[in-house]
Amino acid sequence: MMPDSVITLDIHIQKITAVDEIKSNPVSVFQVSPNPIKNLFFNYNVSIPIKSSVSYIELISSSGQRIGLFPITENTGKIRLPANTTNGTYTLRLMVNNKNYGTSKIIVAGK
Amino acid sequence: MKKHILSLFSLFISVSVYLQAQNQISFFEEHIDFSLDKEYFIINGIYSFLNDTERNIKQQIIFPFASNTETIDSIKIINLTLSRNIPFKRLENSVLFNFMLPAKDTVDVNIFYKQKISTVNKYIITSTQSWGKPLMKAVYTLTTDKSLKIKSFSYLPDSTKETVNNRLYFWEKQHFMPKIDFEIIIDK
Repeated sequence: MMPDSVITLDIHIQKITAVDEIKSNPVSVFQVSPNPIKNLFFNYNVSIPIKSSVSYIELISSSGQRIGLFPITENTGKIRLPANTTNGTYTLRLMVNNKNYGTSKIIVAGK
Repeated sequence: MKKHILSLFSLFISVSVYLQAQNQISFFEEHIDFSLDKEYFIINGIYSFLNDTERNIKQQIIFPFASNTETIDSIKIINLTLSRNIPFKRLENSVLFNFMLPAKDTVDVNIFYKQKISTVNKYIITSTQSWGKPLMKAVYTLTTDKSLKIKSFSYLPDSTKETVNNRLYFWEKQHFMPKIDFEIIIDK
């Protein structure tokens, strides 16, 4: 069977780093515990400056929908997820000055 | 005579190329959280750089400290855009590091370090002048214990906020070309 149309695309993937950066280990500036999350509470730790920046943590569902936004003003703290959060897998995204500097996959397991 | 003219011409070309290279990268924004506790003056900043050219550029940075590097503790430099540590070399009063700036793109670098608290706690911001352009935006905060007595600031804070244990000072500047360094003088 012949397709209706054929689209040809040139895809250029360009990711460059300095040699020293390639050698260095990936680093995470955003940590979450415990995981799995029980009782809808989790602790976070952010190592970059957040007081001088507009900072928040987003809760993203497995379908990619943002279902929660939690402004943060301290480098460590505790966040309570919305009461209607169902069990499952989610992504927490650290946003600082509208840039995503870290993500963490979490499992919500029980209230 | 011809030789002198040729040398002068070469020098002119070299200087032009150097200045052009300097202008290709901009240091345009910084966000720094300072804190003072009983022992340390802690600095945690995000520095944003722009490469406005069509080619990738490897940028070398000399980041100055107000005191000898031996007195600086816990230095961490991270390329936030790549989520990778940036290796650095300690010099006498600074650290030297490189990172790659992709064409027509920005890179954010996080620098963290701490130094022993003293009567005059200084952070060098006049080095911004070497970029030849003011910062589009600079935001600074300082967190201190409520018990800490501050004698003076080189820049007066725009606002202050108090929490249960801490005092938070806040500065926000646009098109900022620092003429003096950031200093916090305390009563010890």
